[in-house]
Amino acid sequence: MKRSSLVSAMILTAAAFFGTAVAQESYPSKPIKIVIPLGPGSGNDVVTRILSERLGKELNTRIEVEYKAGGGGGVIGADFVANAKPDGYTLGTLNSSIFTNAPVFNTVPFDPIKGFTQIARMGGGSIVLAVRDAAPWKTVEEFLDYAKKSPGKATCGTTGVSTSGNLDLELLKADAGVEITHVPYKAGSGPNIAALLGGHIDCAMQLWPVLVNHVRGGKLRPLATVSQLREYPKVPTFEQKGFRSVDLEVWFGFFGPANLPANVMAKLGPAFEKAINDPVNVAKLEKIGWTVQYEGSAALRKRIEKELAAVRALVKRVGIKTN
Amino acid sequence: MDALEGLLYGLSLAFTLKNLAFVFAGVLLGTLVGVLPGIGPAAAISLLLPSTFHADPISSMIMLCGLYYGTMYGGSTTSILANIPGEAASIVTCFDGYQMARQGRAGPALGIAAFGSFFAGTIAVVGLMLLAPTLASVALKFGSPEYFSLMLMSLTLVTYLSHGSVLKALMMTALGLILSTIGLDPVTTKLRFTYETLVLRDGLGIVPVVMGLFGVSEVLLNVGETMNREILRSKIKNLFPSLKDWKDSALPITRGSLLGFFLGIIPGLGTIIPTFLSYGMEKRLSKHPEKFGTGVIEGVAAPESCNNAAATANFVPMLSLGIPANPIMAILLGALTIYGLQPGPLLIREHSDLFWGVIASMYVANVMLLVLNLPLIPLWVQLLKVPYTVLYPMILLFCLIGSYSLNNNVGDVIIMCIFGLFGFLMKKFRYEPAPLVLALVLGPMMEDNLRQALLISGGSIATFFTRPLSAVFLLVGFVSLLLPLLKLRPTAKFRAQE
Repeated sequence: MKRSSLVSAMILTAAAFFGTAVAQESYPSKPIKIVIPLGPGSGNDVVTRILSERLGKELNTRIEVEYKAGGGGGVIGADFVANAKPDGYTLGTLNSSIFTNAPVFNTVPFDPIKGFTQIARMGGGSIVLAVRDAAPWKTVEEFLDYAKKSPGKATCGTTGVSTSGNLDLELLKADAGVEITHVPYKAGSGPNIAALLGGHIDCAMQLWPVLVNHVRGGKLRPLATVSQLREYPKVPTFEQKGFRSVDLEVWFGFFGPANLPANVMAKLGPAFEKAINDPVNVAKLEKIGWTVQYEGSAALRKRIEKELAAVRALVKRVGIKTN
Repeated sequence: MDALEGLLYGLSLAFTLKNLAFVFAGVLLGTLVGVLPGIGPAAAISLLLPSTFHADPISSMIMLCGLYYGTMYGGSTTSILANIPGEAASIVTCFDGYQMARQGRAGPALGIAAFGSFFAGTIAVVGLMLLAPTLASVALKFGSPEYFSLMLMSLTLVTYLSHGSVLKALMMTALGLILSTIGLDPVTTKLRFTYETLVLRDGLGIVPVVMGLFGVSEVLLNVGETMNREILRSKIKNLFPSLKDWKDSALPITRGSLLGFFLGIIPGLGTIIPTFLSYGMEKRLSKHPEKFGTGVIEGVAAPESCNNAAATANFVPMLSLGIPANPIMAILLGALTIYGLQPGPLLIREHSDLFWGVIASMYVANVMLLVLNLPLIPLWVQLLKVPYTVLYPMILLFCLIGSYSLNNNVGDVIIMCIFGLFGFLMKKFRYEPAPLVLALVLGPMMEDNLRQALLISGGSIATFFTRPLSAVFLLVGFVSLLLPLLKLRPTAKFRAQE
């Protein structure tokens, strides 16, 4: 008995060694699957599709996209990535709120930091306060003035409670000391934009790539933004207007399950960096409103730690109820 | 560019050999996807999406759009033949379509569905072409109060949907509304009835529930019963609609098309709700409402026209404003973005080739679908001769694949199976699934819009009565709820006299 278990242990060790040796030589030897947690057509999807060609070239394999939507803001897809085999063949394009908002507002089945291997950050999209073109307010001060004069009457739409837009709105309310009624559009940015264009709400705190074409078409007017908009440099940032704490954005990062082997990371890290910084991709992404700002593994991990703590603190400070 | 010039330009694009091939590929695939129960347009489009990235954006869009209305055409086939909707917008078609098939009139039912769809599709494209920008801005006048009141009105129609006990229909409606509260609370993010499962956080998916209640339960029902299939086999009367069928269907098709078009423009209503409304309206207007549900051709013609018109009208907010009206439009919007086009108010002006190319291809696709579907009718009718022992395991298999393919999530498959069992029990005890589905579709939207409207109005319910459009919807809903009650009284008196 003892001997046979020893033999099998030896065989297993050998197999494991041999296995890793093979993997080390040839990763990736089959297509890599990238999980999209918000379904087809989502920002995650669009970004991944744009990067996948160069990425595939760098890694010399095919990139396959797989949708795993659901769980409220992409939690199911993220959970799938966290539980995947750490062999580098299952990765995910995950949005910031999975790490910084979902764990604060609800329980999630994974550890937002230790549950993943952070590979790279693509960059993200600013959150912008926008009003209708026909609205009387030309500046953020004018709008806040109106909100101050009729407390609670001013309404602001977002893509739902606990989204970054919602949190930025709460921060703005706290910083400016005004009361603005938050109207959540859980069904997505479409209904939110429709309500704003139709004049049913006064403003929206929305992701810039969602707004950009409506602003270009002259239907919506941006009043203030979390980070500077390259295409509209005259739009002030919240910081410039004295609302320092309004600084949450939406970003995308690429993740694998925890403990991706070093040889896999050695391939993935540079490949993602090259794909993200590829001038053709940068041009494509910036045209649709994203800001490309590559960050490597360590920087991404630090960012998540920092932002998660910031959201926790903000929820306490502003007094938002969580579960 | 005026409409005629634009259309001619579009046709010149659509009639290239390459684009004709793309339209054909799209509609053919769409018809197949529509026929297969379970696999819906959203899953099919997202599967096909990657293959289009290196093709020309216009050709790609033409193909994806063709696929979408192909599914709308094909969806009725299994509704009529097997009482299983090919996709959710064909639920209503089951009511009379399947009964027609049982009477040996599957051919006329399929025929009128195809012609109705063709007519509706064509009318809707004309509307889309001429009125898109104007209508899109009118649709924006719809705020949360209007949505809520419209949906409340739609809900009162369940009394028209049932052909059995009204009480049971109302109970199923209530159950549907209760089930629709599952998931994250839209205003507080509290988890409701999710029992530590992730899949329930976004609420019960409509498609797995529909596939369970209609597809799986139908299979289970037939496992337990030795239904006399000879009825279906022996009495296949004629393959195409008779003159009387045409006369009976002409007005319902027109009304269904118009209703579908106008409701389809309003972002968010999708294609399911209009079909229920259309059926309810036909039953209300009919001289023989009691015959609805027993296999009248109007009950197939109206909702089938309606879902095609709505499907085309869903493009109005997407193409002219860049607002996705339903999940499929959201996918197409994403596709446009990936192709490097910018969906939004400038799309029609800046990418007029795309807009007119797609419009023209819609005309082409409608003709193709008709040509494709008519010869298939005799073939489908033959399908009724396939033994249940072969047909039903296949249907079950497609349901399993289809429910998994929605999100690649086993959770959806489990939901489908649970509702399959539940639907089986419902049918055994003569509860109808349609009111439950309607309530489940309407519930989350009603809740969202109710709470949005109340947040905006500062908590005052007056907002629902003081806004004219909203008030009209509420009034219509109230009347439609009261009318059956008023009608009941004379009969009660009559019975008392007896």
